[in-house]
Amino acid sequence: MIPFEFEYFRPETAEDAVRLYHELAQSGLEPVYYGGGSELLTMARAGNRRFGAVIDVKAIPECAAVEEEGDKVYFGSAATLGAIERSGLFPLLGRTGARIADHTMQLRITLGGNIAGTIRYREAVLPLLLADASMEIYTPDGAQSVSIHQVFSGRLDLPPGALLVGCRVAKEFARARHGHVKKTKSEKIDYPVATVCALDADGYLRFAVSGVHENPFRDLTLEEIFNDTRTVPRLRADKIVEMVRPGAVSDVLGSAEYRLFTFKRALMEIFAMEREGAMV
Amino acid sequence: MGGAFGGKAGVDLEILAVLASRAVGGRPVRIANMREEDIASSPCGAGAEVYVRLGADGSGKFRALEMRVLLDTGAYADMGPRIARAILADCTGPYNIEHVFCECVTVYTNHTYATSLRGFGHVTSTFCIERTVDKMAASLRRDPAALRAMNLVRPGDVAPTNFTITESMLGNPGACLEAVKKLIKWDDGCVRQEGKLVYAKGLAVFWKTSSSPPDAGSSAVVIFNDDGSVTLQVGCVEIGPAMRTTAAQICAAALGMDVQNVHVSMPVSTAAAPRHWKTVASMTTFLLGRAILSAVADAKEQLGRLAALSMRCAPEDLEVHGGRVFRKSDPAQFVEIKSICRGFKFQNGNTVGGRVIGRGSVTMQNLTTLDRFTGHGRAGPYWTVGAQAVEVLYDTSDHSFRILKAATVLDAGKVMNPEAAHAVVRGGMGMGLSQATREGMEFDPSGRPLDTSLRTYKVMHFSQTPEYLTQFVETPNAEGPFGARGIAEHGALGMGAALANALSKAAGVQLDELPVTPEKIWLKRSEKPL
Repeated sequence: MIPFEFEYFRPETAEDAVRLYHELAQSGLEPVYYGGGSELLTMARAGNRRFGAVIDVKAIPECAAVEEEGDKVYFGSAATLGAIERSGLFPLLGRTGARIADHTMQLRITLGGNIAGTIRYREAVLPLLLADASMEIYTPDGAQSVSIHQVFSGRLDLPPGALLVGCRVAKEFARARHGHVKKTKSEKIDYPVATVCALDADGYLRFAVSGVHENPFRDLTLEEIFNDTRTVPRLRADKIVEMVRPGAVSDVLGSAEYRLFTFKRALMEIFAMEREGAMV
Repeated sequence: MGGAFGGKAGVDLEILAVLASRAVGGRPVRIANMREEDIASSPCGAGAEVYVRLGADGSGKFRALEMRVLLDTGAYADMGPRIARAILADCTGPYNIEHVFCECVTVYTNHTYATSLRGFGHVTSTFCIERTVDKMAASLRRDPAALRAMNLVRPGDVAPTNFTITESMLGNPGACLEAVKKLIKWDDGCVRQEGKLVYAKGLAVFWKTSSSPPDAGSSAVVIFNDDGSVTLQVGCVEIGPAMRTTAAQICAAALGMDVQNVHVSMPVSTAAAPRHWKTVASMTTFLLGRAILSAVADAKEQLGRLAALSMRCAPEDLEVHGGRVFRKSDPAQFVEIKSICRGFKFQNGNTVGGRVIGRGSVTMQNLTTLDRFTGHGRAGPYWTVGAQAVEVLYDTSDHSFRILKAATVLDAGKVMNPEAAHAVVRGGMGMGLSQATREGMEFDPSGRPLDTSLRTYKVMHFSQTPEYLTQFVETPNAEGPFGARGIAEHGALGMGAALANALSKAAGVQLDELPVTPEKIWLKRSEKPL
């Protein structure tokens, strides 16, 4: 049971949603944008989050869309992980999403919710970081398109009330060869101890990581080491692990040392996939 | 489907409900825990730290066992001391060991308090004994299955609490072990490496008796309806394992009638239904079944007396079966139950007797409390023994593993309902494997629970479950209804032990802590000098 009252709105345009947000905020109602609800509902129930108004964005066509647009593919922020996987438009994003939650929850959790939520793993962002996605944002000043690297650094950083409408990715990245390795504590579907997504950009492997540090990251320096073929893969992995070590998290899912061990295993598996031509 | 698995045995919400009700002048109140509150504060399974020493002679015969159990039952005693007693009573596992010292201390801690949980301490004791037996086999260079077989307890041996065991009490652990070896293909080899992957098998045997009070009992009322069908009133509550179906089957079999004609009254009205001790301890079929048989015998006697009037013979010459009372010497002479079950009516309308209502009541027999100093005494009426095996696929590169197969053979005495019996055992195996690989309360140093949500407290998901192989041996329990033994908890008992035995072999390290996780294997492997 959610132990407080709130109002519910279901606008049909991004403009209405953003205007509504600011009106509600001004009247002190503490509004939230709402997609699948898996995080907001459970946190509200447990008393970890309060809000006075819910702005459901699922009826906004741009938020719900999953489609091809010429040489780009587009994913609305309210598209579910399940819908994105079924579309087959960005296989790495599909595979990453399919390991975030059980099937039932894949049909509720939205792309925007996973990226903008408070649960720190935000694995859906990894493929977008690798594909240099552009983020479609709506603010009171209107629609804007910005690079993911401008607005995402560990977490999504938007001005208050700005709405993430969707993400746009070039087909050359969406269809690029890729690898996805996820290590969990025990259960297949769980938060990551370490998740590594890799994407082949013209023979240069990009990779991004979730689970090891407090927040997900992609690091260009680490990518350079990763691609430095003058050294054997094991030493490259060792070097990367050493550089990542300072921020490694210890918690109930695993100690920092174990996280680094699984992270290295994941890197080695990506190397092996690359060597054996197992990246698709 | 489902069950409470012991979770209703502890006293927890009841106290709060009483206090809350008193605060509002005795009016009804409703208490509902949220999941997080339930995990953090309502009782859970007991943790334990166990020290085991097992002594064997050169031939491999077990000679002595020393066992010290520190049972972490949290902040309140509740069921803790009873769980400790249950561990003590069965401490050796199904082995014949002459010299036994076992001490079980219930320890107050600042952890979430513990209550009964499927197995009532036996998952813990089985894990410890069976891990030790595997280590013994390794140090004696013996096949773990063969070492177990030669040490299994047999009729005529003495129980750990000092009484002589009969076949009826025990069942046949050796037959269970043999059958489980076949199911898991033990003799085809236990460890096989293919590149970075290792296939490995592990075994466990176990036994469990109940730890009920010596006067635990049950009762049943069998009421004949006008059409000759039967209404069966019982006091035990259906919480998942199809107790009502079993009750109807026992009643129908005893009366020789179709099970469709037995109506088990539900729900249980505590105001009217005869009392049943508790729907716990895998004892429902045993206790309730005996009560039903006793009620049916009473009803048959009444039917015999009424039919004797009509058939002009002695009641002892009659038999009840298939909706009829007939002459043993000539079954063609009979009277329909439906024509006499309201009383026998003479041709002129006079009626004698009245509605046939059979009543039956039983308690446990010959159970004693355990002697405070020697531990001697008899805790339960019989054992259910079994053997289990697990086959895992272990990845040496990241220490992850998959459970490929899990097998169980139980001596059920008599399988009442094959589909339900296999299902309840498979359910227990799934629960045991989930506990053994994922579940375990984690606390920070100040005793605060860290896993209070199902987001992080994972149970085994369906896609991760192994292939289940289940089989039964039937060694009648002379006192059980139709020879039956309880089977409700037993699927869970040896799963952790069999899994840890398999993974210890696969990883080449001793995994002596549950749950077994890839991180724990990694830690053990890191400690091991290469």
